[in-house]
Amino acid sequence: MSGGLIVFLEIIAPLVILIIYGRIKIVRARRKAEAEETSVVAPMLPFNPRTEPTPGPLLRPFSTPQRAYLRQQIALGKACFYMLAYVCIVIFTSGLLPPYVNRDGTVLPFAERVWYSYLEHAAVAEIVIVIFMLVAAMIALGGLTNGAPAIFNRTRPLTRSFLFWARVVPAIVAILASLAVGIVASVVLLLIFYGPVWLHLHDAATVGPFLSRARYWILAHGLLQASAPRIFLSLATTALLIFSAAAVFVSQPFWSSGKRRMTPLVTFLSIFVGLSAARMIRHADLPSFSRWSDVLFVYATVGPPPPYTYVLVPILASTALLLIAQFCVARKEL
Amino acid sequence: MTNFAIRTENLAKIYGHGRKAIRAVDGLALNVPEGSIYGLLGRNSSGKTTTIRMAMGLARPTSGSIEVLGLNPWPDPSRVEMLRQVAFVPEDKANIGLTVRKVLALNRSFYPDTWSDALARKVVDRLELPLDTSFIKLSLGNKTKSALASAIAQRSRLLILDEPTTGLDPVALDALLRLLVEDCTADGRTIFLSTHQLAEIEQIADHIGIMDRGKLLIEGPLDDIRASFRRVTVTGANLPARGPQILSARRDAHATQYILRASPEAFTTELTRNGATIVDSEPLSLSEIFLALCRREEGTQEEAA
Amino acid sequence: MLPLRISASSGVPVYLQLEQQIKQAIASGLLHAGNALPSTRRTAAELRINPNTVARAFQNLEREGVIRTVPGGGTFVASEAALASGLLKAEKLRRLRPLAQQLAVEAAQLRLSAEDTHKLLDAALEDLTRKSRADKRSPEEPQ
Repeated sequence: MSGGLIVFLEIIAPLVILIIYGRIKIVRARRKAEAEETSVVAPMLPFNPRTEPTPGPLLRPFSTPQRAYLRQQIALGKACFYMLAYVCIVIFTSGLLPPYVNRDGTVLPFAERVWYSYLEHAAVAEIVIVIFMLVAAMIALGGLTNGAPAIFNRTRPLTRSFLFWARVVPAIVAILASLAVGIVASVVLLLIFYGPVWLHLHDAATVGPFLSRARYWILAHGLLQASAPRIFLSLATTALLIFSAAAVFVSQPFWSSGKRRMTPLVTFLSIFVGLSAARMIRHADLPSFSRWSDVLFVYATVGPPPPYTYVLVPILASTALLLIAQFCVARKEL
Repeated sequence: MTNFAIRTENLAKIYGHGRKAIRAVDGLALNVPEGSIYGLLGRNSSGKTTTIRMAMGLARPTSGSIEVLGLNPWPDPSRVEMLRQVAFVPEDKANIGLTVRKVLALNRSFYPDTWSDALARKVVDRLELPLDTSFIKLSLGNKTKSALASAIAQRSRLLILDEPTTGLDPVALDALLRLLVEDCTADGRTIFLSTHQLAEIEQIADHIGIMDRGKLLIEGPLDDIRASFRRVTVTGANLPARGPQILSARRDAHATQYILRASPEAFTTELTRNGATIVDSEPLSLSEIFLALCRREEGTQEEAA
Repeated sequence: MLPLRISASSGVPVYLQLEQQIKQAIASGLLHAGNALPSTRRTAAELRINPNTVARAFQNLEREGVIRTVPGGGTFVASEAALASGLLKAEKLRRLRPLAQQLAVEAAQLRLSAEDTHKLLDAALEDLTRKSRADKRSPEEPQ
């Protein structure tokens, strides 16, 4: 069975399960209601809200209205985390699936095959991440820029900057946490099924002469130079960068009412732009892109990693972009 | 010295540029005294909602100024200080939560100083709100009631209602009027209503403002405005066709019918002194005043065009 | 419960309608001297009208001696003595004069004779006396 199909099914599976589960619940509830048709309708409980639970250390420094808003956003962040974490686990562990590992046959020794497949898939995750970051930004900021929820949020006694950061920080935490969970889970699975393969990589000099030129090149110039930590770090900083760029994009005026008919067009355009950016990242090893990809700490292929110092570039760029997004959202008129 | 809950000075909001510019609000001078029930009347797209959006800090004035409870509603931190004391029912009553109960509980945490659970229960009871129906299944009337319950239970110093009667049946409407009078006016609190339901306004408002095309046509205590307008049917010779008090004059074979906008007694006395006969004199309902003013505006616009 | 019917769109100011109807209720015996009136807020809520309007009507009525407020507790119809002599006769006449003039003007416009106008007035007075006598004779229906 093709590897792509397996991954696709893995991602779709929980969605399908949820839909089926939801359907079962509805049918069961309907049957129950029919059975109880003749019985008296349960009286509606009066409005008696619970008192606020004592805030933990995280929420204590905030005022009551701020806490109410934060609780909402943290709940949203948790929900996004569960979904994203699952997707990350699927993506990072996809490199360990036999169809992918054995894609090129047995031309590379065992350890190298596994390691190569694993790293390559991790690096390629950029594409999926771009789409998810765009969606994440829309979810995070939509509630401040569009429609009735935005009007509600913007007329509560909270400063505009609090409204913004209380949405963005949980989103970023969810994104980074789900990446971390995905990485840890995949490393654990790697260890379970294949053992610590990176310790058993052969020297280019030992194995090289037995490989074809192409394979030798992959081994010497790619795999042995690849740095797993930097791949994962790059994923985090690139995700952050794309999220921040998407945040600026979502906070622009053309999304709001008046141009409502344009929204499907703009959505389509943004996905197209996002995918093109992802493809550019994918081919970042091409000479024309390689300098930019290094500076931005984009590390999307198995090969020589960018130096650690460049990790600051996307972090600073993200911060700047987020500040711009905050400014745009604050100026936005509803 | 009266305090004003909302006060605007030469307020303007212009969309677009040059010839295609839309003057949604144009030189508005609104004065809403604290402790009053103020009704802002106007047709659709007369600028009412734009004005309210500026009052709630959702839109920024192009020029002029607006003050809500003495505070500037656009920049933080005065905006937050203002929002702490203002309850708002927006024009768009769409989904904002899962169930009415959850929305009430959420809004409660934003206003810990003034929220009243007892009042929330009272409103839910009087308006017959279903607390646990999911928002997606709620009718428009119930969504409006939910927004009203959230806002009224806040017990704020200023209650701003933009089209609060959307989807309400007559029973609910009556219950709402009673609630507004009973629970939203004590302690000098202000109610600001924007609507085109004139009958309800005429009942509970003590101040009104009539807006058309971004401008305020008339504003003041409702009793004074009603006393100033009168429809007078006169017969006689040499009857004036125009004058500062005359809003409109319609001449037919037998008599001339005037709609007067100020000092009707003085006008009729003057006419009788000059030999004319007052055939009939009757007051105008708010609805008739509204129509007469808006038609006059239309007429002037057509003349100018 | 006060038998009040307010029409917001009739052209007569609401506070005036309120004043007139309370006076009428007193004159026709529906309200007796010393009866308690519901609070401003309660009256406004029942009638769905602005509390300031009710307050204004009550203030005017108090100034005219028709009702009185006890500080810290309620509004009451003035005592019989107060109603009867609360205002000097001259003052009473002064207040009724515009009404009389209005009646005269309207009658003249409608080309009604002075005799018919007198008859009209007499009938109205008789009506009131008859009603209050009937109420005093038979026990009042519970409100």
